[in-house]
Amino acid sequence: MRLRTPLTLGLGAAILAATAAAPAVAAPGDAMLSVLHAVPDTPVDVYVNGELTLDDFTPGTLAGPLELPAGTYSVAITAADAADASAPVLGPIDLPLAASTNYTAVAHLDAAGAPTATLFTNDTSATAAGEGRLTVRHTAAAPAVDVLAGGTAVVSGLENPDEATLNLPAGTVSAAVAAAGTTDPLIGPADVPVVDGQLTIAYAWGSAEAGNLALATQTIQVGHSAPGGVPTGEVRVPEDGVPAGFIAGGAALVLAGGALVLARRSRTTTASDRSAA
Amino acid sequence: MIRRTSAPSARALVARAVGASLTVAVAVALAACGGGAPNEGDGAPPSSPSPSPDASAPPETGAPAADADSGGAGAPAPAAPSPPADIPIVDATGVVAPAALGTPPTGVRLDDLDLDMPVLPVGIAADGQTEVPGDANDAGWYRFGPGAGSDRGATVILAHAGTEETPRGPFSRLKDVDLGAAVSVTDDAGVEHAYVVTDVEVLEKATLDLTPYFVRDGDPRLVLITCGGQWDEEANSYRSNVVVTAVPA
Repeated sequence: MRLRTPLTLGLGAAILAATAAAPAVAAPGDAMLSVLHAVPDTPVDVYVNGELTLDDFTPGTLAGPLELPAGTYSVAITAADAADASAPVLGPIDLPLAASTNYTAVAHLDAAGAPTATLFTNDTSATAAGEGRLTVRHTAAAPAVDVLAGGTAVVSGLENPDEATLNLPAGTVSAAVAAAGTTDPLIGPADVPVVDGQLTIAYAWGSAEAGNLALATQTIQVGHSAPGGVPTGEVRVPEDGVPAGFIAGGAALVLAGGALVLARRSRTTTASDRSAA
Repeated sequence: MIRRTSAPSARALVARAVGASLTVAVAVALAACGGGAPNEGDGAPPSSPSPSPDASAPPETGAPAADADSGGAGAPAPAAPSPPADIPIVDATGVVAPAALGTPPTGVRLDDLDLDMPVLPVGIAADGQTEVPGDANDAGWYRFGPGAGSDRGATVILAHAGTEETPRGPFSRLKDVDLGAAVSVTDDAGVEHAYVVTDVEVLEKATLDLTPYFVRDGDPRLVLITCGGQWDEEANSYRSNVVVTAVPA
């Protein structure tokens, strides 16, 4: 068990980066933007800089990633039958996207149940060998929550719209969300894969009052790391093809096997030369 | 963005709770030949290229994608703008199972070296190095990388050159393999995957960067690793790794 398990809590930034099928990165320097619709019950249209970009975008779906040159983009969300972006139900809001950065913009409810949007930055740095990364984001109309893994709180007091990121040994985590300070699941438990070289993002969304709290997930392929070494030499391998026992066994045995030893020695010499090269 | 750090107790809880639900594949040889410089965490992820110096300048206007203006000029009915069609949209309400590359190997055979071994999945030990099966008659497959028959990346199989139990393991003969030798890897469905040896290297651990041998993209290949080269009495280990590369036959 590795004990260096960083746990960081962060405010604000977050996203959905990519689906498994999507490329991790586009042209060098482009920002990657995914969009998650996490407002229950309401299909919408999404306009980016006045252009219809997502039509009849339904709750619980994830779009993207869009590959965008760095810059600030104006996003407006309208009713699904709107003719244009002139009467948004949310926004327009400015999304400042930095070069070579991976974002997820989430339309969701705030803690009180009003529609809002949050731009999250996804941590796409390489995972350590044997580890995966899990980010949890509170985007639900609900009070502070704890995130439970295997029934034990691993993130405590997470509030809308905050996030927490954990680097964990690769495997499967049985994850659940409970009201802060409790262990009775509001969402889950669900088996969440923790994959070496992958960022998995879990969103708590919906409304506690409406009884539709749910889990949404996004996965992004990020860099991985090679192992620190391959320690495959527990003991020194006996040389010359003579089992160690023979050496202890006495000269007679060695003489008896002389022809065989000579034959193998020439081959060993060749190998040594190659090793030295 | 404001970041705060968790209390130490939370870290311990994570370690306990998560560790309990994970499987540890194989016993680790503690008296290993060590010496590999830890390099975990290095290697810039392909997804994070350096920002270009001028990339922070906001675009003038902003159609975000080349075809994002398809609903603009020329659309006579403003009530029905049409969005670009190529933005992937997925249902996010389920948990996505990771797509596996290839299938887990269960055996490796190299007839020229009289090598025929079972293969067990191995992961990462506490020191950041790979786990290695405790008996030199068993090989280990690096289970975080591609499996047998993957269409890309390196399938890595490793074994001790020798152990107390098996002083002269089959992999101790890898240094003698001829280029062009046939290697066969059997997967857990019983399918055999044929490879041909293209490279044999003896690489000093002190300066070895394993990154190119553990890639998950690029041309598919099989990488066999053991220890070899000079024996270092002081370190009680070999100074080098013997690395054999093979490509699909």
